[in-house]
Formats: sequence, C-alpha cells, structure tokens
Amino acid sequence: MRVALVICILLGLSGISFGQEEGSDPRIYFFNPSHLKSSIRQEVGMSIGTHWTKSPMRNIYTSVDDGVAYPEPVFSRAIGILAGTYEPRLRLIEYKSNASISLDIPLTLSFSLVDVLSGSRYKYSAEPLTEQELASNIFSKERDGILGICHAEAGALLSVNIGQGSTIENTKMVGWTLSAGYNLVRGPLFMNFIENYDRADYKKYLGWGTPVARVGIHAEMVVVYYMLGIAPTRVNYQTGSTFDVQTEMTNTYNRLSLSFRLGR
Amino acid sequence: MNKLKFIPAMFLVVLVVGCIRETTLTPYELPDLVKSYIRKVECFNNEDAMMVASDEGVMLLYGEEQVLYDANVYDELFKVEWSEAEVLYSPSTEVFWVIQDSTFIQLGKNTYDVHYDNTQFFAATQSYFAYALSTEGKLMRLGYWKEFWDQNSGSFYSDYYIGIYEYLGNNNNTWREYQTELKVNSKFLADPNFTFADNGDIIIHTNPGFIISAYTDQGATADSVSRSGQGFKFRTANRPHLAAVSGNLYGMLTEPSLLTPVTSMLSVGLTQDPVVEYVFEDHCPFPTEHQGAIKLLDWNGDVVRFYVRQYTNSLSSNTDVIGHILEYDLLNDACSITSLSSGVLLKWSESIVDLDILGNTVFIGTRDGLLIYDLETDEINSYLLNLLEVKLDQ
Repeated sequence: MRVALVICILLGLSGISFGQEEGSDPRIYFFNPSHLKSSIRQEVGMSIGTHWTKSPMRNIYTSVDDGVAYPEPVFSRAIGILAGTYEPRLRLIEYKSNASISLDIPLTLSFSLVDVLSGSRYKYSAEPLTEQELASNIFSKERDGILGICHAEAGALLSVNIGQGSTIENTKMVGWTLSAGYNLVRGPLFMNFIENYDRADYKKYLGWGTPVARVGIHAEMVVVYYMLGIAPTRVNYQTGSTFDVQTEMTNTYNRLSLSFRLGR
Repeated sequence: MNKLKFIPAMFLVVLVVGCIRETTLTPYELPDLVKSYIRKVECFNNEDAMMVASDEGVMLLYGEEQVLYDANVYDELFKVEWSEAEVLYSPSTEVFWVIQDSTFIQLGKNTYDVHYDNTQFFAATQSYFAYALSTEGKLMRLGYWKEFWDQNSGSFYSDYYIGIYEYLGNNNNTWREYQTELKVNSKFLADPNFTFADNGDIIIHTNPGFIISAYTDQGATADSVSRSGQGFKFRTANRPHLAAVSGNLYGMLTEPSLLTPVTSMLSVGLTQDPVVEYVFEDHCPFPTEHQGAIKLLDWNGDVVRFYVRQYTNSLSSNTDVIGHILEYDLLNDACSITSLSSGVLLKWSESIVDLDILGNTVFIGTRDGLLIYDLETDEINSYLLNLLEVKLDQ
C-alpha cells in the first residue's frame, strides 16, 4: 500500500497523468508483446563487496545468566563478495519518449558468506535441544563454522524511469530510475560441507523476502543502482553480560551496484 | 525538471525512516523450577490462569505473564503437602489460594501471604467444612457451629446449624463467624459444600439445600430447597458447580482421587428436585485399561472434563496411550473420551504425577518436569523448551 502510494506520488511529480486515455492521447504507449524489442530493456550488473542483507528475525537465541533468560534475535545474513545480475525491464507504460513505468526483474547470483547469527554474533545452531542438555542448563546451541556460501536473489520492482533509458527513443545523457518492490533471497546455495551441516535442519533459515526500494542514475549505457530494504525491524534486546540495551536491525537489504545496458 | 532533483533523496528518506518497525525482546526469569519434580498442576481454563507447584517452588501463569516463587526463598512452600492441598483461584483478585490442613497461602502477582489457622471449631463437626471463593475473591468457609438435640422429640437425630466464616487471616482471628439458623439433620450430616452464583448468592449443596442471599451477625436470609434422590440417601455433592445458562447445579458423590475415582455426576435444578445421577459407564466409551476419572479438570457451562488415568502401559507394548480426557455434556447426555498418546518425553502413564488442561493444551506434571501436550497435534513437548522457542506470530 505504502509502495503504491509512493509510486502514485512519483507519477504525479513526473507529469504523467492517468486521466489521459490511449485513444485520446497518442503520447502514451502501453506494453505491447508484439513489440518486445522496444518494450524491454536488458541490463547486466555487478557489485563487489557492496552487497549485504539480513533476514527478518527467525528465532531466538537464549542465554541464561543467574536464572534470567536473555533472548536475542536470530537472523540469516548474507554478505556478498562478488555478485552478478541480469535484469530484464519491461516498459509497461511510456509517456512520449521522456518517461516510463517498467516492471524490473533483477536476477542475482552472488558469491557470498551466508550464516545464521544471533544479535551477539553467536553462530546459531538449529540442532534441537535435548532434555538432558536442558537439565544441564544448556539453553541454546552454537555452531563452529559458517553455514554456507553463495546465494541467489530474484526481485520484482515497479519503476518510474525518467530521461535516459526510460524509452527506446530517449537520447538524453542522464536519467533516473526510482523503484519499489519485493526481493526474494535464497541462501546458502552450498552448505558448509566441512562441518557437514544438514540443509533440512536449517530449512526455515534458507530463504526470505523483503520489500525494497531502489534508485538508479543512468549515464549513457551505464547505470549505478542503490537498492535498500524498506521494511527493516529494529530489535532491542539485552544480554546478561552487560545489561545494556542492544539494537539489531533485521530484515535489511543494501546493495550498490553497477549495471550496463544491453542494446537500447 | 528542477523539482525532480529532490525526488530520489525524498524517496529514500520517506521510505526508510517511515518504515522502520521496532520490537523488543525482554529478559525474563527462567522458570527452571519446572525442571524438577512437579507436585501439582492446576489450570483455571475460563480465567486463563495456571499454578504449577514443584519441589523447587511455585510458578503462576496469567496468560503469558509468569510469576515465580522460589521455595528456597519462600520456604513455607517446602512444607506444603501438595497432594492434599486444595487450590482455588479468584479472577477478581488474581490470587491463588493454597489450602492444606490448617495452612492458608495466598499467591498472586504481588501477593505472598502465609497463615496458619489455630481456630478451635465446634468439636462434634470440626471435620465437616468446605471452602469456596466469593465472587469478590474472598475466601469463605462453611461449617457447623451448633448441634441441637430435642430430647422431647423421641428421635435419635439432632440438628446441626450452619455457620458462615469469612477469612480474616490476621494474628488474632483467622475467621469471622456468622451464625445462622439454617440446619441440617444429623442423618444428612455432610460437608456443607457450596458455591457462589454470579449474583453473589451462596448456594449450599446439602440436604436440604440453601440459597443464601444475605447474611449478617443476626443471621442469614435464605431459601431452603428440598433435595432428594439417590434413594433419599443424598447428603451433599462435592465441588458444586452452577451452570449459569441452564441453571443446573452439578456435583460429585465423592472427591475424585486415585483411590476413589468418580463414576458419575449428580445434577439438579437449582430450585428443583430430585437429584439425578449420570453414570459414566452408561454413556462413556471407556477404554479397557483405565483407573477411572481421578481429577475434575474444568467446567464449560454444562460440559465437564475429567482426567481418566490409564492403568498402565509400561508392561504392554501394544498400547501407546498414557491417559484420557473424558468430556461429558450433561445437558445433552453426550460423553466422549480423548486418549493421550505417549511420546519420547513421556512413555508411561505412571510417570504422570498430576495434569490439568488449558484450552487445547494439557499440562502434565512428571517427576522430571513439566510437559505440554497439544490435543490438536498429539505432540508432547517440554514446557521449558517450548518457552525458549520463538513466538514470532505474536
């Protein structure tokens, strides 16, 4: 709802009116499958060390100190080292040659370090506790190694494009893209085989989705994108060691990437 | 185009700042006392409240809120013989009452009070009494304060006069006494079991029965109700329950226990007669190996639930049943029995020390701690482990 509102505001600011109909105003064009070449823009992108994301809180890690249980958030985290993206962008509505609204589908494969952590950065283990461990005052388990490597993403963004790149006819040097949508993350693609972690044990930690927004600056055939999670959750918690209130931002997404247009 | 320059910055600021949610994980006292030998489990289903007593102390639950009393700090709890203790709960004061012999313990969110009763009651009837909480949460005791034998009557029988006792619990007096002229003949002498109607009337389930609408130092204002049935042997009914909608008054011939399981329920209209007995065996599909209904779990209008103990399953490998929940709709005379299945954490019925039910969850006290049984999934989990798991759907 909030995303739709933002899109509507942006459309208003950019001078595009829904009041005009196709028949009465030929300056507005709608997506036509028979003219795919002019209605789809394709990009490939990459990022190096500027890509990280955290899932929403998935569980609670409990440390016990002096009879008091201190719950901490548990979340999945992926730190992208090298990521590549292929992104088809379908221009749904074009306004003259100056602006368009497009459906963008960024598909990303990333070499990354993926882990499941607590707020205090304990490597959370999904192995269930036993009654015997409970009786021995063990309330949470930890892993020794990282959970796995590499992750994949698939997004669906509704974008407002202005200037360069907005339509196939646009010849301006610079352009803007403002997007909002949803991004799915799946990872790790490869579990840590040295520690022999079982994918089934971590089923609920291996995928998540988050609403995102993106801003892009087009210069000729190069685009710089910054994509950001727009529904983060700030989790406040305490630990038994300090008693101070700690804060962990979960459900976050950050990525600065560089893309190149394929064709027009 | 100038105004467009500000759009990207505004776009990000509005989206990011405006969309941050916040949640707080609060530290809580770990109820590790439920890891020890559980002595008593009492749930009050309609009030969503529970009390669990173990060798290490007492845990109270009010919905999600827990209150712990460590017996190492509150050492009177060590002295309670929980198998003999009666537990009452008042939703109006949110206080649990533990009554065992002459010991009265009040446990609440901010209440811990222990009182020992040294009152000398009327000797002839001092073992005939009953407790209940008033609608305001006041502990009431009913007993007999006087015996009168009319030597001119030519009868062996005498009359016993009912006394109403309000709990004071101070050092000088445990009770405030209200003497009444309401009397029970010695041939029907029994515990004056009673309950409260929603309007505050005291409903005494003796023979005859009484509905007390008011009482003062000068006596009680009451209606007497004839009670017969059971071949005119009816004296009283244990744990009387007044169903608000139907107006039926229910009870049991005996207090349920392992040695004296309940086999029937008594029912009568509040101002009607006679008392009707509903025998479980006539309507309930009992399994073959059971020891009867040994605990009344809860009431929901005219529907009562009991814990039926499984005789044993440790000697036979062909059953994985560890107990049963009997549900009897007394208004419609319909009975059903739900069997509880064993699990890794609980294999034998003998391991169950006590249990009670809250909604669809059965809380099972064992020698090794508190377990929870989900009636929808038939899964048994450790209470403590379940507590440690995340509840993200909240």
